[in-house]
Formats: sequence, structure tokens, C-alpha cells
Amino acid sequence: MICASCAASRGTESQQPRSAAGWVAAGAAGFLLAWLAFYYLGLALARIPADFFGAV
Amino acid sequence: MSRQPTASDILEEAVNLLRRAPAAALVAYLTGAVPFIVALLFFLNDMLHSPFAAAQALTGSLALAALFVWKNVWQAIFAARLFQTLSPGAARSGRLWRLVWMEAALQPVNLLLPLPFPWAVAFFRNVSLFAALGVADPLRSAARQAVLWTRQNWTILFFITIAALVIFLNALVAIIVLPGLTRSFLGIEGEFARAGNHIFNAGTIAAAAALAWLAIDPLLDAVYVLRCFYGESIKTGEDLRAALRRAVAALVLLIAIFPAARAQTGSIDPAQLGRSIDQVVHRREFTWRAPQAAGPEPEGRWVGWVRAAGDLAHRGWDYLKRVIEEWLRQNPQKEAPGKGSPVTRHMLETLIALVIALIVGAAVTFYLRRRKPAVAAKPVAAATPAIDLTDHSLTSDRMPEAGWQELASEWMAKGELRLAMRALYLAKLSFLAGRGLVSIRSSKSGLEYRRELERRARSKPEISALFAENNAQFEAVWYGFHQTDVEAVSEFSEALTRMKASLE
Repeated sequence: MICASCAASRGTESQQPRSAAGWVAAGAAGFLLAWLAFYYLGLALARIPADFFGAV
Repeated sequence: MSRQPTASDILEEAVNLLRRAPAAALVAYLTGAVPFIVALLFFLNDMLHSPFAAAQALTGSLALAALFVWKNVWQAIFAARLFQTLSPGAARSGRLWRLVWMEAALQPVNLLLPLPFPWAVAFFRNVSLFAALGVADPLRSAARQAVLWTRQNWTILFFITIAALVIFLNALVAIIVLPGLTRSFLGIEGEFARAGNHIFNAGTIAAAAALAWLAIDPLLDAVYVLRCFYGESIKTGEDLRAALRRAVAALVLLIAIFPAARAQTGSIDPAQLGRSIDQVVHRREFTWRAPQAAGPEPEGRWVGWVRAAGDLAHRGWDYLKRVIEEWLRQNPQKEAPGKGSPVTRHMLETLIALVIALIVGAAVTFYLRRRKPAVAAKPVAAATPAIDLTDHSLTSDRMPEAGWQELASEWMAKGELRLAMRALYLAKLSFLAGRGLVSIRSSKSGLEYRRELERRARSKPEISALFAENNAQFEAVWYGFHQTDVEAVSEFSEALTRMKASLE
């Protein structure tokens, strides 16, 4: 049996934070992914014919 | 926690957590969510309806991606604030940039995986929470909590999906029905009311979905904050510590209050207690069922009122006297000896009385002077505005009905029958608007006025029939190539007389 704080510290001892540069690169890639997702969503909506919404 | 919390426990606690969330947390959520939702609605509308949609898609989607990251960062801060209300001191500082990059890196993946896997939903919300809390390895912590209590997670998502659908339908029905109801009951007619059935469109559906999302999203955050709190507590015992803190705080409060309460009960003045009880039992919420006090009934119609008014005035005068006496009562401890001080209390009171008398005198003089104007204003007759009957944007509320009829007579005398007919048509609209049967708008067509009249003058169907006939006649002459003559214009004018007779 061990105390709660010892158990908590044992759980985090081996975990090293990932490097800052790695997160920046991943963040930029994720932002690009979101941009592309919204862009293609917009294009798909723009391709719907206007008469679908009753326009003349 | 000794047992696994059920889905209903978590949902109930999540609602309570949101209700007692600090204002700063809610402001943080709205700071992120509102700009993103508004931008998303504009983007969808532009893409669906704009002829330049393809050209705008690139910049629009860039702004939307930036706002998406912005929303997720603020949402993570909101979740962390909620967690801190459960476990004060859980957050570590100095991790904002890491939070921004993590949200930018991970949340777009959630955008592309909109599958209702409970562990995926939980993971992306947990990772935001742990990143905002400054946990060393948020990915590992989020993954560990995401796979915990899967059945409970499924049940929560099932109930929240049903709630989201109900809120969406409610919002949609409200958006569609409210403008019509507002027009029917309050007579307020806006763009939404004029849209009629066209209000049910893609934009409306998107707006209703956005409202439903704004209602459900914070609840989902609260749910996953609680799951993480209880999940982490298995290892750390934080839930027990929080319960212990609450119990200690309650005990300290009780210990602090108890001696004070005992001391108070020992030194209660009976007269003061009697007055307090009397005040309480005379409150409106306690007197509604109390029987009337026995005593002689007032005689005569005005006796009771006169007696009550006299009592009120007497009590008011007593109160005023008491206040003035207390104010003027000399305080021997504070009073300075008269000889040494430059200004005595008596001098000060005399000066104050003098100033008050001057203010009252000035107010009375000002009031009396205002009542007598130096120069009596003469009424000015309003000049009739110049009316150009060929102006298509002209509306009938520019003049009263009599003015339009006079204008029609002038143009008829000049032989301009087409203009005379338009003046008469505007006279009819002015008359109907004066009776509250139509509301004048420059954008309204004759057909719209006819429909409005049919709706508002249901009890007099002959009015709308007469108007429909006149409208067709006017539009044929004004917009078409139909010729008209004096006889036709006179008949047109008589229709207004018949309309008036029918409404008398």
C-alpha cells in the first residue's frame, strides 16, 4: 500500500513533455488542416445550384 | 470515490456545476464560441447564396480556421475554470502558448472525425482540459480518462443527443413561428414576418443548429470535466479531499456562528423583539390569511379613508419631527467649547437654515417665472409638402387621406387622370392605415396590401373585395397601358366612399 501523492508522482515520473518545436509544427499542420476542411466545405456548398433554394 | 458515478449522476452534477460556475468561466466560453458561431453562419450563408462564393471561400475559410482555434483555446480555459471549482489549485501557470499550439494541432483532427465514438469525443475534450490545466503529459492523461467508464459515456451521449435534437427543434419552431405571432398579436411586422414561408431555409436551419450547439456544448464540457475529476480521483483521492474541505468549511462556519448566536440570544431587548415580530407579521406575505382586527367599524363612506389618511399624515409628521430633533440635538461629547472655536454649532445651524430657505425661495421663484411665458407662441400652420406623384417610392403616409383627395381633384381638373387615380389609390391606403387595417411600407406591393387586408378585416370581406377590384384597376392604368377616363376615375373615387360606408 502506498499513499495517494506517492502514487500520483510515480504515474508522472516517466512522462517527459514533448518538445516546443514539435508542438509548433503540429499546430501549424493542424491549422492548415482546419483551413483546408473549411475551404472544401465552402466549395461544396457553393457548388449547390441556386435553383435548389428557389432562386430565379 | 467509492463507486462509479452513473450517467444521471454526472448529468445532474454537470448542470449544477454550470449553474455555480464563476462568471469569468462563462465569459471565457462565450468569448470563444460566439465569434466562431457568428462567423460560421456568415460563411455558410455566403457559400450558399453569394454569386462570388468560390472567390470568397479561401479568405473566409482562413478566418474560420483561425476562429476555430480561438474557440477551442477559450473552451479549454472554460473547462479548466470548471475543474478549478471542483478542485481549487489544480492548475499550473505559464502554459498558454503550449495550449494554443496543442489546440491548433489536435482539434482539427476532431473536426474531420465527427464520428460519435464516445472515447473520441471524450479524448478531444479531455486533452483540452488537461492542456489548460498545465498537466505534464495531457495526451496520456486524456487517453487514460477517455477509455474509463465507456457504458456511462455512451449513456451520457445518448441523452445529450436527444436533448440537442429537442433544443434544435424548439429553436427552429421559435424562429419560424415567432415573427408571425408578433405580427398577429402585436402588429409588429419586420423582415422575418414578410418572408412568409421563405423563412424556412438553410440559414434558419443553421441558426437553429448553432443555438442548440451553444446550449449543449458547455454541458458536454462540464460532463467531461466531472468524468476527469472522478477518474483522476481514483488515484489521487481528490474527490475525498474536496468533500473533506467542504465539511471542514461547514464546521468552521458552524463554530463561528454558534457562539455569536448564543451571545445574541442572551442580550435581546424584549421591546426590540416585540417591534421586530410586529413588523414581520404585518408583511404582505403573512397578512393575506390573517383575520381582520376586531374594533369599531368606521361609519360613512369616507370616514375610514379620512381616518387612515389622518393617521398616515400624523405618523409622517411625527417621523419628521423626530428626525429634525435628533439632527438638532446637541452632542455634549462632540461639541467644542464655545469660546475657543471660531464657529459655534448654533451659528452653523443658522447658516444651514438660511441656505435651505434660499434654495426653497429660488425654486419657488423659478417655478412661478416658468409658468408665465414672456411671449405667447402663435400656432404655425404646417405647410403641405410638395408631392411628386410620379415618384414610385411615394407612400401614403406622407399626407392624410383628405390631402390625397384634394391632390386628386387638382390633377383631375388639369386632365392628368393617371396621376389623379394614383392620388386616390394613396388616399385609400391612407384611410385603411388610419383604421389600422394595413401598415404602410414602401416595399409592399398591392397584392401584399390585399392579403393584409383580408387577414385584418376578416369580419368585412366586402372591403378586401372592393380593394382587390380597385387595386387591379389602378395597376392596369399605372403599371400597364390601359387608358382611363373621367367616369372611371369618378367610380374609383366612389369606391372609397363605399369603403368608408361599409366600415361605419
